[in-house]
Order: sequence, then structure tokens, then C-alpha cells
Amino acid sequence: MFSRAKKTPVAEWWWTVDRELLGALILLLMFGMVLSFAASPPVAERLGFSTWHFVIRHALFLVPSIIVLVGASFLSARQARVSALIVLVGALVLLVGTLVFGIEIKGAKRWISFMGQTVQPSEFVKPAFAVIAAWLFAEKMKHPDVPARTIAFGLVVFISALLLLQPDFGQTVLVVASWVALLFLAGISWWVIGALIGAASGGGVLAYFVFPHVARRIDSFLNPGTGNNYQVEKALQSLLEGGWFGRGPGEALARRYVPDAHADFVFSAAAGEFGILFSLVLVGLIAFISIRALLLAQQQNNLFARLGASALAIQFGLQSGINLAVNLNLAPPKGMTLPFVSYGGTSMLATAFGMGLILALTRRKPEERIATGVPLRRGDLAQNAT
Amino acid sequence: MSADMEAAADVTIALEGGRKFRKNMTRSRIHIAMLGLLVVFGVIGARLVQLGTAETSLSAGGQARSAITASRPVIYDRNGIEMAMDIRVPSLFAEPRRIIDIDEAVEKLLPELPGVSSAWLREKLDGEEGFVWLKREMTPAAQERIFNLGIPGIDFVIESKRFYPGGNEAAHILGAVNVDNQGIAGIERYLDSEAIKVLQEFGLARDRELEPVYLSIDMRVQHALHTELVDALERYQAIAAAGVIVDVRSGEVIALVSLPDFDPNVPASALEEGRLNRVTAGTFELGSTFKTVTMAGALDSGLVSVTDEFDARAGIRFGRFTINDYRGKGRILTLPEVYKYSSNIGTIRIMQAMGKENYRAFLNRIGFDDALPIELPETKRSAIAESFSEVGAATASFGHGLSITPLHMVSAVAGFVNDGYQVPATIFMRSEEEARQLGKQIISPETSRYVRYLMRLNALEGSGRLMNQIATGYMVGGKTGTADKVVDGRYDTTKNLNAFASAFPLDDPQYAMIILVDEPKAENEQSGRTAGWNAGAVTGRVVQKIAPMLGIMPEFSDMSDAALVPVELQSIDNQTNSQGE
Repeated sequence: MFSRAKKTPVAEWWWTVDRELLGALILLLMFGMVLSFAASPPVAERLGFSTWHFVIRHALFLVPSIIVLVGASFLSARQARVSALIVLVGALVLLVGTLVFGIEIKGAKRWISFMGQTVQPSEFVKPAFAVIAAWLFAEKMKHPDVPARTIAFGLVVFISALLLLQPDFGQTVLVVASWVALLFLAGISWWVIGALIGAASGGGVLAYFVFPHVARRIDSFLNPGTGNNYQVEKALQSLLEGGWFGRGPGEALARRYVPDAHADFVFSAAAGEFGILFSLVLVGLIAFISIRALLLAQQQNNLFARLGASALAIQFGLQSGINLAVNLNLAPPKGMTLPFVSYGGTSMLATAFGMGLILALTRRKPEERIATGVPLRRGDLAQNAT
Repeated sequence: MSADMEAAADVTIALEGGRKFRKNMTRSRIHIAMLGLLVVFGVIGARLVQLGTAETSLSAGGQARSAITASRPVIYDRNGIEMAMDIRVPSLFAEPRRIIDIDEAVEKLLPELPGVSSAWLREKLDGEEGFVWLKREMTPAAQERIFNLGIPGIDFVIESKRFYPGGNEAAHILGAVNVDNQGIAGIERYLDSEAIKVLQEFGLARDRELEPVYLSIDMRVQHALHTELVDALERYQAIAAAGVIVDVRSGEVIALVSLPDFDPNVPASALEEGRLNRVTAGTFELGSTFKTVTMAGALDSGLVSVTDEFDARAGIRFGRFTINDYRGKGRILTLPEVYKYSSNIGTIRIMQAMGKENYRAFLNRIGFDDALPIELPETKRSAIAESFSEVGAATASFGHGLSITPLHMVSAVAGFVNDGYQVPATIFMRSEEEARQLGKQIISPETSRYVRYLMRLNALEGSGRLMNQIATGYMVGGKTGTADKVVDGRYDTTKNLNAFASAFPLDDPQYAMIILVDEPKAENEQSGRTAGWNAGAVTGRVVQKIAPMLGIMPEFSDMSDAALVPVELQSIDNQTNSQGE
């Protein structure tokens, strides 16, 4: 099937996709499964489900996630753009829908019931937006007369407004951050970057005063003694309990008291069982995925592919980094999941879609080579000609 | 990009250059983004390492998790008898947020938890907490019954509980641990400051067999000493009593008792007022037992010889004060007589012959200014003036106006009789070779012989006679000390602190001992209140019990006693004997 002799689509895919990145992503999915065994049974019991409720559901989402991941990686740059556009439009419609028909959980309307499943549309908005915004930026750089950047800016404002109405501060941060990352990669001047950082801090301060739950979290982060930082306290306890080598599967005690052990705090809950060395390996794997994706993006000649893959990689790295920082009490709680590891079907599928697009955008482009017979550096060749 | 190139055939060089610049810039900006992410993950990794090396002192359910299951080493005496061990006991806890029916839980649990009120239990079980202790350290039978009740949200943790088979007997040596198995007193606390603490920092002390600890204590001797001191409290209606026995060659403490004591199995009692370890943490004016020190110092200085005579006919005046003898002889006394009759006047003259600076330096040399070398955390520094005035030196020569711990005194006596070689005291096993390297020569072997002679003489003819009658044959010698206690800044002649500092067998010294009896009353109308009657008698009874255990053969001839007499005095003795005949 993967033979090079015949040019089947699968063989072509196999020889052009970055297999190291693909392997790392599938490995991360496996890690997520293992961590689910460690972290979710106590939560399931506490919520009144059967012990393996979350484990089974996690496993059920694993298969479609891998299909989406591999499937998306088959797409060409153009198809990636189109599919991202479809997903974005669909997700935005659902996002508006959440405000109307949404299910309220823990004081936020983030979920929508869809064919018996609860779906969190904001998860799909993130990767789709990153790709579309990257395309808009690439267009702007190629055709300065198109008001692409303005459209991108409009999109950010629109999405942020919808997310803040839910309210979902964490996702807003990620969407805005991907847009800022694109601005930065597209070569915005350092002055503007400085101004944006200023605006971001201003936004943070504003969020502190406008959203009571944000203010509460930051307060309790700054004054651990006074505030309601139960989750973080228990998470740290679980981490410390495990020590270097962990207490072994099923042995950790503190994870029982980590509230969101299956979702936001899966990392610290599992660390109690598997230990800090294991956690370091997990962090290393996530770092490898982010850096590998950025390196591949950097090698792309196609501006859209380069920007799109980078934006997705930065989004992934940032989300993981923030989740880990919260788990380790380096940052106040944000309500951000650990991609591919935390429980959550929507999140898993959406991440698979985003990661699949990275794989798709960073494939070695056979069509370019075959068309010209010149392996690489086509742009350089053209310049030499003129 | 190829499409762009073709479409913009007439594009200017400037635009081309700009595009190239932008392309390179995106690349370099991706580099910066990579660096940023690397920094983020680097910080996360560093934080993980920091947490990994952090001390795991965080609590679950208000209690230190690691301490609950942490084991402690078994403590053995020198013969391998268990003095302290871990036993595993179940503790009951509840997870209130998992309790379905509080009424049912309270109703079922209440009969199993004696001494618990229904309201207290209900309050504990109510709420959204994840962990509350209900009862620590239950019996396995109670665990079985509660387990069979099948109440959800109720569970057990197996805890390590410290158990001391000897109960009170070695209380002040062992100390105690709190409910979290952390040492709070005695050798348990010392162990925490050492090995276990290091292990716990690395999270390795859980459920682990720890190296057992061997103490220098001999539980048989400890038991005998404890029994005799308990008897002494009763017999003399004393408020406190204490005693310590050390091996003079190795410095090992063989037994150590301080009464009133406590039961280490009930750790709260350890902290009650008046239960301090008087041997190491109490300083006292040890009175005439200091005369042994003065004699040793004076004889060793070479300025006083054993044949010297001292005028004890009249009291010595210091300004308004006159120091007199208790039942003085009112004549000129030889040096052995000064010791034997416990003459204050004679002792002052001996100290003066030696010189007060020399005397002060000698106290320093025998370790009275040093902190106790013993491993027990409960110790106290001596209170001795930096330099003595005339009157200060005079009173110090017979043990007043300066206070030291009984262990200081017994260490000094041990050094005096052990050929002048003093080994620091320890509570752990130590070989004699090791002791040889740790010790120091405080007096010459010749002086040591004089001191042994004097101590034995006092037992035969002085205040130690009652003691010697009880412990005949074991060649015990020692000096009494009857000190008036200071009450509200004045010496109260009705309240005494009595001591007897001794060593045995003096023909081949092996053990030194000090016995303290605080505020003794006369045993009956015939007996007195001075130290010979109580501290001395206790010493005799203890030696009589422990000498056979320690393998010391009794010796009933006078040969050994005669051999102790120094050459200078032998001729005189022979003369008097022959004259008598």
C-alpha cells in the first residue's frame, strides 16, 4: 500500500507526511488514554457514573479522533482552507446557538445539545479560525490592496464577543493569541507588538473587573491563604504525593480529591500515580510536538501553509502550556484543557482536526517537484531568472 | 507562489525585494515563537523538578499524609530487647460528600464509637468535605465491625502506631512521638532530626523497613534502677528522684531514670509540668559531691598532696559570712579525713592551696562548661561563674553557688576513676576502641588512684557506710551531697536536694552512677535526712541488684580495699595498726 512504485494516494501521503510528528501525536493520544485510567474513575464515582464511565467514553472518541487526524492530513492546502472555512462557519452558527439554546454548566453557557451529545462549538472555532486568519494574512501579504487584515480583525472581534458572552475567558485568550501570533509572524513592527501587549494587559485588567469569576481566581492565586483555590491546592497535593516515581496505578490518594481530575487537572491527578519523571516525559512530548510543527512550518515555501501551520502549532503549544502552568500553580486557573489528554469529545476531535491540518500543510509538496523537475527552492530559481 | 510569479511578470524589483524580506522575516519570527514556547516548557519542566525535590509535607485531611504511613526504626537495647516498635493500626475516616444518608450513618456508627456524642458525629459527617478523621488508632475488632456495617463514605487508613513495651521504664530515654509519628521528645526526636528526616524529604520513608537502632541502655539495669527510684519516692516521700549509670570506659549510658516520668504510649503526658529529664535537662547545686572534684583537681595540680593536713578548727570568715562544718571535728584534719568527714572548711583550704583560678580551670577541663555530648535533645547548660570571687570559689569547692546537670557530674566521676581518661557520654552503642579515640585525659592515672581510694574510704568510714552495708562486696565508693534548696532566693534548710555520686567496683572501675533524691523526708525516727540515708541507700540497693547482672563478682576479703590505699598512707596505716596491736 505504501509502495513507492505505484503512485496511490495513500503511498503519496505516507511518503510526504511528517511521520515523526504524526507518531508523536498518536503517542500523545495514547498518553491521554493511560492518564484517563488514572485520573477519571474517582471523578466518575463522585458524579454518580459507573467507575469506567469517562474511560470508556474517552476510548470511544479515540477512534474518530485518529480518523479525523489522519483524514485531515490528507488534505491539500486548498482543501484545508475550504474545510477550515466550512468548519468555521458551522462552528460560529453553533456558537451563536449556544447563547440561545445552550446548556448552562457551572455558570457558563458553553455547551449545546446535538443528537444526544453535548458539543462545545468554541473548540472547533479555534483551529478553523487559525487557518482562515492565516489565509487572510497570506492574501494580504501577496495582494496588499485586499482588506484581508481588516476582515481578520473583524472575525477576532466577532468571535471574542461571542465567547465572552458565554462567558469563556480561556478560549477568548487562545483565539486572540492566535491572531496576535499571526500579526507577529506576518511581520508587524515591534512598536505595534508593544502596543498590543499593552492592550492585552489592559484587557486582562478589564476582565478582572468585569468578570467576577476571573477576579476570584486571580485573587485566590495571588493570596493562596484567603481565596477559594481548592482545586489548585488539591492538584498540587496530588503532584507532591507521587514524588519522582509515583505511587503506582490505583495507589494515589490525593487524586481522589482533585475536582476536575478528568479534565483540566488530569495532569496533576495522573502525576500522583505515575510520578514526576513520567510527567516530565509528557511535557517533553508536548514540547516536541509544538517545536516540530513550528520547524516544519518554517520550511514551507507557501506563505499560507507557513502561517497556517505556525498559528495552529502556537495555539496548541500555548493551550498546553497554560494548562500545565495552571496544574503546577504557576498561573491562575483558566478553564483550559490539555489537548488530546483531557477528557472531552469535542476538544479531542477539534484538536485532531487542527493537528491534521498541520500535517496537511507541512507535507512535502510532490506536485511542485513533479511540475518543474526542480526539487526545491523554486522561488529562488525564479528570482535568479529575473 | 508560482502563480504569483507568472501573474506579476511586470512586477518591480523593489516589490520582489520586499517579498523576500518578508519571507525571511516570517522565518525569523517563527524562530522567536519557537524560543518563546521553549521558554514556557522549560519553566514547566523546572517547576516539575522543583516539586519533585520539594519536601512532601502537604496534608490530606489536615494530617501529613507521608507521616501517617511513615515507619520508624525499631529501637533495641544493648542486648537486643525491643524498646520501641511500630504496630499497624486502622484509623477511621469519613468522606462526608460521599455519605448518602447521614441519619443512617450516625445511627449505625454511634454504638461503635464510645465517648462520641451524636451531635459531634453528625457535624463531622455533614458537609462537602473530602476527608475527616473520625477515630484514630482503633482495634482490628472494631474495624471489622464498622466495616461490616457497610456505610458508604466511611473508610480506614492503616497507620503506623508507635508502641513501647516497657511503658514508663525508659520514658526519658525514648521520649515520645505525636499522633503523626513525629518524634517530640527523647531519642525519638533525635532520630527525626537525623536519618528519618532526610529520608522523608526524599519521600522514601513510606512503608519501608528502616535500619534498627541499638541503644547503649541495658533494659535489665534500667528496670532495676527504675524500680529502686520508684521505691525511693515512696520510701522518702520525695518529690522527685533521678539516676544515671554510665560505663566509665566507653561513656555508654547503661540506665537513665528521672521521676516523675510518663508513659511514652500516652505522649501527651510527656509534656506535663515537672516531668523533665532531671539527669540531662535539670541543673542542680550538687553540694558535697563536688568535694570529689575538688580533691581530684587539687591532687592533680601537684600543689596539694594526699598526706597534707588542713586546719579545720574554726570556721572561715568571708566578710559577714562564716562557713562552718556540719558536725565538724574541730581539729586539724588530714586530706582523707577532710573528704571522709565532708569538711567544708578543709575543702576550702584545699581549694585555696590549689588556687581559685586553677580550680576554675579544672572545672572547665572536666567538661562542666561544655554542652552535654549526649544525643538526647533535652539538655541544659551549666550555670558557673566565668571567674570566681574568693567567697564564690570557697562555696564552689563544696558544690554551692554553681549548678550543673547530674550527667556532668557522673561523667566527671567516670573520668576520675577510669585512670583519669574521660569519655563523652552517649546513648548509642560504642566500642571501647572507639571510646579510646574520643576521650581525653583529665587527671593523671596517679591522681585517679588517689580519688578511688578516697571514694572507697568514704564508703567504708564516711557518709557512704549505709550504702556499703547494703552493697557489700561490690567495692562501691562515692560521695554524698546534701544541698539546701534555694527557695525564693534563700537557702531553705528544711528542703534538701540529696545526691550520691559513686563508682564501682573500685578495684577495677567499670560503672559510675549518680542518684538524686529531691526533698526527701526521714524514713523513720532513727534515720536522718542527709544524703547517706536516702541517695546513698538507694545507690546501695541498685548496685546490689545490678552488679550480678553486669557480671561483677562480689569480693568479701579486705585485700582489695587494702590494695587501694596509696603507698604514702600505707606506712601510717601499718604503724597505727601495729600500735593498736
